[in-house]
Amino acid sequence: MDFQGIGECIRGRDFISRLPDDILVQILSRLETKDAVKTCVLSSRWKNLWTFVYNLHFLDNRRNFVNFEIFENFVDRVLGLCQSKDIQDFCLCCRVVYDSEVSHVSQWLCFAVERNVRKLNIRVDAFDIGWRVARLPQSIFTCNTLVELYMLSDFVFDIPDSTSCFPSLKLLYINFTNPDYDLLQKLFHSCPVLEDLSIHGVLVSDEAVLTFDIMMPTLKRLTIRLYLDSGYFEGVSKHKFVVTASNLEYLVIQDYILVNFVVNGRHLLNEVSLDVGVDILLIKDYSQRLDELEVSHDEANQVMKLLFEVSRDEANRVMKLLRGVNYTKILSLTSNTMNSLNLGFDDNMPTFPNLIHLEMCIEARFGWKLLPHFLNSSSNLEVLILKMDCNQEYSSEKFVEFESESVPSCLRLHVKTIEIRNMTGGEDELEVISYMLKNSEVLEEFSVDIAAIAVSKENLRRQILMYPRVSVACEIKFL
Amino acid sequence: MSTAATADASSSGDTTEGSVRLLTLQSEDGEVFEVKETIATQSVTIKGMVDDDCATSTIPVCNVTGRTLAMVIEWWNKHEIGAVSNEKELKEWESQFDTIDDKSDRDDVYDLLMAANYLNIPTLLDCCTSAVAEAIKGKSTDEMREFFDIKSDFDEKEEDALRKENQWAFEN
Repeated sequence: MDFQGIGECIRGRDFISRLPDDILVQILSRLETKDAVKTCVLSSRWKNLWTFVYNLHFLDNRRNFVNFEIFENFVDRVLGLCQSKDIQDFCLCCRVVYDSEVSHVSQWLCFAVERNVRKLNIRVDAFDIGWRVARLPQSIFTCNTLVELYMLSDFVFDIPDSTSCFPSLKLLYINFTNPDYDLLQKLFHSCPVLEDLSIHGVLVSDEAVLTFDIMMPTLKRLTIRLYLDSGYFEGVSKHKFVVTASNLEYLVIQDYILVNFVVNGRHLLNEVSLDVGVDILLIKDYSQRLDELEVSHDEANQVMKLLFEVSRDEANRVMKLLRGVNYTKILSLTSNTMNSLNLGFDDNMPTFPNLIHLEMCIEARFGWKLLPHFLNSSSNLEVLILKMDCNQEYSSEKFVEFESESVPSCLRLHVKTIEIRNMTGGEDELEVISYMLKNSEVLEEFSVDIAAIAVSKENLRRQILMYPRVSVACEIKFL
Repeated sequence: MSTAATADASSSGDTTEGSVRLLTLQSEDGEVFEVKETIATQSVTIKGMVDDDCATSTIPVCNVTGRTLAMVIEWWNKHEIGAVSNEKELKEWESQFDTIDDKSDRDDVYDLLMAANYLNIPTLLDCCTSAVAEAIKGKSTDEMREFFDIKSDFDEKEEDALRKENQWAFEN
């Protein structure tokens, strides 16, 4: 029997209209609301289907700030006809000029709360930055269904002082340009079950020194990304973040203004990723611009020093931060971080008793200086990934071999995987590779990724393959 | 979209290991499949039957052909916890379901959607509804009608009225 053939006959045309309502509603709920609404003209089958969607995505893509009214009418109409009692995902991205428009935004958010919204995503761009921002309606704070809140623009609200807010909120994502400090401070103390906090924004250096106190016992993931105000480095920041979160598992920090981070308590962290320090790319960019202006070498040096110099104490903040997260299992450090760690190094490397996976950049200015210290402090390390920085302007410090009797214990006992990324073929790199192969007794895999700019790759490969390996089982791979 | 599938799930693994129970599924057109219980219970419907002890004899899977059921079982095998260690690999395999390019894809998606709905398989339902949504995205209503072969039963006046009511959706 030819079932295929029968299938063809039964199916015929227009499969989509014959899908059951609930599947079609699922499909329409995956679309931006305007696209879902558009399907109303397809045929009478579709006329009212969109009114059952449980996700509402309003993205105002007017090219300018005029004609808010049409957008406003559309949203009002959709909300008026919306039949779903439980909104999963409510996303609103629009531009406002007048107070009346801002108040509309508030009403729409109220609607979402009334309809048991689970996830709210709000971005309200104001015509003039800072003077009109979204005001969150009071009802949001007591909303029992709200689990995820994304605030992609500045916002204000009157947070009640006493009660704890956001009873069910697990994820909070904030992106600010003009933070209201008191408000953030309250917010960081008002989420009783928050697990995931992301803070993105610009912190300008003005006279007030701010301390952000993040005290959240339920927090599992914390991401902080601080950007430079209009791309200028205005010196090391005076602001401070104090993190007290005994259940924290994941920590990601990106910060180019060297805010003072204090991580309290002995967190058994899973994974920490740090990109903290003056942005090396920005420095490079500046020095190139000075070159183009044909400023004399000495003068250029002076200017660079004035603009970007970071004192040893300031750089040591990064080492202190590292000391606060030393119980992590996985650690990843960028070239900016390594630069600061090197600058502020005080011969006092923390120990990393749980560290099994270390990924670090060998940056061009200080080179290998800290690698031996890291290896000696990480007695259980299993995976080591070294990323070579291609910036060759500074001469990198030579790799200092460990005395043979003091090969770090992790190399003798635990390190199974080593990966060298972006190898350029320098003598120092070859020296390290030779050392690692000679001393890593339980090594299983050694991978090398040779950079595109390296000359005679074939020679490098041959040379690496010829080095004696103490671990017979070790396999060398070229990526 | 691939239409080939390992219909015989029992050949793929460790069915001889004592504790793994096999369920017998029979498609609408009489094809019989033996599937590990741990895999088939990705279907909420089948899980319910197992939990209620109703899965002792052959389970009829009405409204699903053998060809579609084989695809569903392939999906299950790939999504069994621990079956594909590499998240990227899984995404790559899944991506064959992402696009609806020609007529046969459309038919497969229809069959899979109906099967995923009937058997209540959230991952497969998500993937297929998202594929259809992707196909709708960015299309004008005329293009949608053409792509999905939808015949309008509105007259011009009715359609104009609908467009007017939802002006912003059509103008932006």
